[in-house]
Amino acid sequence: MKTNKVFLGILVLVFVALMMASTLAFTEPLKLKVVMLFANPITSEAWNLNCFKGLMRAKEDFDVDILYQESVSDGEFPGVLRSSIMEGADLIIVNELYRTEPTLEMAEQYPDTMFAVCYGTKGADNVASVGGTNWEANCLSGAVAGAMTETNTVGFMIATDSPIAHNYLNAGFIYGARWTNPEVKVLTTYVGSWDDILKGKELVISMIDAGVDIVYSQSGKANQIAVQVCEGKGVWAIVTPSNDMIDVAPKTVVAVSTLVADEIVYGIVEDMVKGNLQGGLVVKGIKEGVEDIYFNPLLIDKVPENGIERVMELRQKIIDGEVTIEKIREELTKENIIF
Amino acid sequence: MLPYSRYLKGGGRKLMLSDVDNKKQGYKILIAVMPFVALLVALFLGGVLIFSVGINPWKAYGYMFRSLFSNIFLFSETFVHFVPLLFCSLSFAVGVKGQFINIGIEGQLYFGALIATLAGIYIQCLPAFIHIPLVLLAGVIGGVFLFGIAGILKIKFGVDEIISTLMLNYLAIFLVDFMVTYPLKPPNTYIPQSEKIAESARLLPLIAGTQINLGLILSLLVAVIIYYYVYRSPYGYQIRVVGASSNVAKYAGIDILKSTISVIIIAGGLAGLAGASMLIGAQHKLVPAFSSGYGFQAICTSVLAKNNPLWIILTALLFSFIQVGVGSMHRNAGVPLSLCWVIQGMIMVMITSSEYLTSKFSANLVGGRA
Repeated sequence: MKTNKVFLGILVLVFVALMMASTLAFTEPLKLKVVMLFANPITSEAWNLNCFKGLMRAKEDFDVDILYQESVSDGEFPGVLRSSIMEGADLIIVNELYRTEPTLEMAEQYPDTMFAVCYGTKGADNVASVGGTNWEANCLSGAVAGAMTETNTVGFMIATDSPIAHNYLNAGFIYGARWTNPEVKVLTTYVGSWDDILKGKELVISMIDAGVDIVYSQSGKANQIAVQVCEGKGVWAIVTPSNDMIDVAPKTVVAVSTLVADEIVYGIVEDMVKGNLQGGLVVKGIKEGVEDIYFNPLLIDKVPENGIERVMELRQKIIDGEVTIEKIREELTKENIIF
Repeated sequence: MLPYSRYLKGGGRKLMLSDVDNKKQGYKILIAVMPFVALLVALFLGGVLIFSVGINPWKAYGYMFRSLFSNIFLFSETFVHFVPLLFCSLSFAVGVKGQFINIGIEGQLYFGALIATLAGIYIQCLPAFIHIPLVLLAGVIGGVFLFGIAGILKIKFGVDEIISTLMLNYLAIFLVDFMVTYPLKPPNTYIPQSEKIAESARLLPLIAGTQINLGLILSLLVAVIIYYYVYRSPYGYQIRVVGASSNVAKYAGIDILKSTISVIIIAGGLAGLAGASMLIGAQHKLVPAFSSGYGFQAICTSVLAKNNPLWIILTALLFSFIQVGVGSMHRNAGVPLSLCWVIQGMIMVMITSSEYLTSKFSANLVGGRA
């Protein structure tokens, strides 16, 4: 028994020594430390990949220590955020708008650390929420869909059924569709997840079976399968967030609702490096070049000419501030249209 | 020839009694260190994989250990995972003892958190020493209710609890999703979440800036109580007999129905308590997908500990360390996430496999074949 205890004691000492030695094996660089926390794998969908591209571009251009963690679940998020702060992060970027609230709460406890939320809904002194409007590009996509439909039925597939999906994405899309086609019927479906490809496929099929002849998909991983189903069924598709989605089916994707996530992330790091990053809510839309609609050059002749004019007219009104999301919701509510 | 020595026959070899003692001593040492060795082997193999992607494994593990042990604030992050994992693992262990394979712990955790949230938000004006136990009790009731559905289906209709509890997970998880998106969502926010629970229902950290709160102490206390209940009380004995053989229990005059109901209440209650403890400890409000899959991790944690509540404390701590550590390794050293998961899995597999060798050595010790 004495032998056991001595042996175990030595083993524990060796283990502790290894632990301590490993923590001394490297030195901490004295550079600005930026940590980005992704809710999903960076390759899971274009949004994450584009954010990552922006981050890596910032790593090349600026002399900063860039770290990131993928697949941080909602349950783990507060702990990982705290750990990042304890490990000396100067700036923590979060690329998920539903994490605005926990980030704000953490920021209150750690006022010396700067936080940034991509597409956040609120800001604070040390929290910069930078993102798009969540409705402008969707509004233009709706306008394209309304102009192109021959069955007067268009479909919109959204990743998650949330208040933001209803009050921004869907409201904007319905308004845009009615802008070019007052008689249009909009079928909106929710995948319930950013990753459920099979369910996304089934939803697109069911929408097409219900008479939809143009589908706008804003549902993460399911975007690609949505385009493929549309291609197979011979209907049009509009997707998000970047132009390379046209390559999935060049004769099916008539337009892309663009969202330059990489510019948002790059801009955040750049501002931090230059000392310009301010807390608060910064919303950037079509006017600032963060959101827009991009027509597939191969299929632009398929869009009715007056349709393109109407889309551009709507685009200008959005830029000029004549069309706002508050006005959209008010109008749809007056006409008893559920969004 | 040594005095009092005897020659023993075994496998054709003649052994000295002192040789037998030495071999037994050796087996005891091996049994004691086997999990350490398994861990070190897993870390070594993981290091090879890390090196293969061009990262210094020494640095990677350094970040892993540093995130756990460099200061109390980082160390305490482990307890955010440890407390619900411990409760869930205890739930699974009690279920197994009573012959209930409960795959629905995750759902029971969610449902427990939901009921606890209602108690935390809508019951006001109570002092903390009443409100906190009330919220925990609400969590227990939630967990018992959900597991009770599966229990009734099994008792009355013979429905396999593996299927029913698994399906009930979806019901609970999506119900919480619905509740925080619609009825419980405050009107002034677009984010799916409930209001915060009353301040009197929140646990404060025992050490400022850390995640060490009364939930940790409660979980350890509950583990000890469950141990004594299951292994040292007549009720626990009855549960174990029913779990081992219902026929034997019947002939022994044990009330099987009463014993089964006890298992449902305890196991379901523990899972609900996991959810309630997360709510009052760290979250303070209900949000969708707040659990990191503790209900499913609990199965491995409990099995590794051979469903012994006291050993579960150690395995839950180990798995919590690993979860926090690999996250830090990925974040700070740039080890690809998928590789981190491989290393995490390897550690679990190696330690679990070491159990096989441990049981072989134990058999040799007991059988006197040494």
